[in-house]
Amino acid sequence: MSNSLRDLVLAIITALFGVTLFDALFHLRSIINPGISLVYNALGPNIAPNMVTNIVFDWRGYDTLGEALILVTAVLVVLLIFGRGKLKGDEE
Amino acid sequence: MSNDGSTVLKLLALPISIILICLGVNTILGGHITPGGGFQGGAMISAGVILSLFVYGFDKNPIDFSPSFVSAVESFGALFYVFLGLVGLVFAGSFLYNVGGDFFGIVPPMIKAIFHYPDPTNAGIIPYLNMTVGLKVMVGLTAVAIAFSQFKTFEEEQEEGDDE
Amino acid sequence: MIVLGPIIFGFLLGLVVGSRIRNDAEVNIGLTSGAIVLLFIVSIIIAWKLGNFPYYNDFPVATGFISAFIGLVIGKLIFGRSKNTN
Repeated sequence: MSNSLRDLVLAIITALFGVTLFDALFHLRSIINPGISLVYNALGPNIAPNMVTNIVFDWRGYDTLGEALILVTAVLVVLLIFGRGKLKGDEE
Repeated sequence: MSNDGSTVLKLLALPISIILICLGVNTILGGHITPGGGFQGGAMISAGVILSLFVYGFDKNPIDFSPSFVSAVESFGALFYVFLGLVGLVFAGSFLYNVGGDFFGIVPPMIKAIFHYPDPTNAGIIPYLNMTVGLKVMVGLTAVAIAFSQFKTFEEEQEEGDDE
Repeated sequence: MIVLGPIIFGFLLGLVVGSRIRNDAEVNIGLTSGAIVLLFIVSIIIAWKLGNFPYYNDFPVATGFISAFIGLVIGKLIFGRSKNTN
C-alpha cells in the first residue's frame, strides 16, 4: 500500500519538476541581456590588465573566499582519514 | 625507508626544486597581468616541495614542513583574506572593497596609500589576495601529499605490532 | 622608476619557504656554497630569458624570480633548522 502511494507522489513531483524546467528553458535566448558584461568590459582595464583576475578577485571576491574554504575542508577531510601515521607528531 | 631515489636523482632534485619554487613565486606575483595568479602559483610551489619529498624520503627531506608550520600558514592565509575584507567594510561600506584601487573615491587617502600595491597598474589589493591564496594552496597540497606518503609506513608498523 | 612590488614580496615569499630548509650535515650533501653561487648565476640566466612583466619597464629581467631565490637562500641561512624532535 505505501509503496504504490510513494510511487504516485514521486510521479507527480517529477512531472511538476519537468514542467518547471521546460518553462525556464523555453526561449532562453530572448531572456538574457548582456548588461553586466558591458559594464565589466568598460571598467576593467582601469583596474588591472587581466580581466579574469578582475572578475575572480575584485568583483566576485566573495566567491573566492568560499573556494578557499572548500580547499580547507578538503585538506581537513584527507588529514582526518589518512593522517593517523607520522603527521600526528611524535608518539613516544 | 627503501623507496628513496637513486644517487643521480638525489644530486639533481634539490636544485630543480629550488627553480620550481622560484617559478611559482614569479607566477603568483604576476597574477594581475599575466595568466596565472594565486591558485596556480601555489600549486607550482607545492610541486617543487613534493618533488623533494619523494626523492629524498620523508625522514631526510631538506624541505621539511612540520604540522605546526602547515597549520600556522594556512590559518594566516585565511585570516589575512578576511582581514582585507574587513578593512573594506570599515572604511568603504562593503566587504572586500578594493581599498587600493579606489574606484568610487570614498576611501581616505592614507588608507589608499597603505594598501596600494607599488606598481604601474592600478590593481589595489588584488596582488595581496593572490599571495594569501597561494600560501594556502601550497601548504594544503603538501600536507595531503605527506599524509598519503606516510600511510603505508603506518600500516606496515601496525601489522608488525600485531604479529609480535 | 624601479617597480618595488615584486622585489619586496618575492623576497617575503622566498623567506617563508626558505625558513624550512634544514641545515644538517647529513641531509644537505649537495648544497655547498659553490653550488649556491652556481645556482644564482643559473637563476639570473633564467630570469633574463623569462623577461619582465608587460607593463614594467625598469629591468629586462624577471625581478620576482631573483628576489625569490635570494629570499630562499637568506631564509635558509637565518632560520636554518637542525633536526628537531618531530
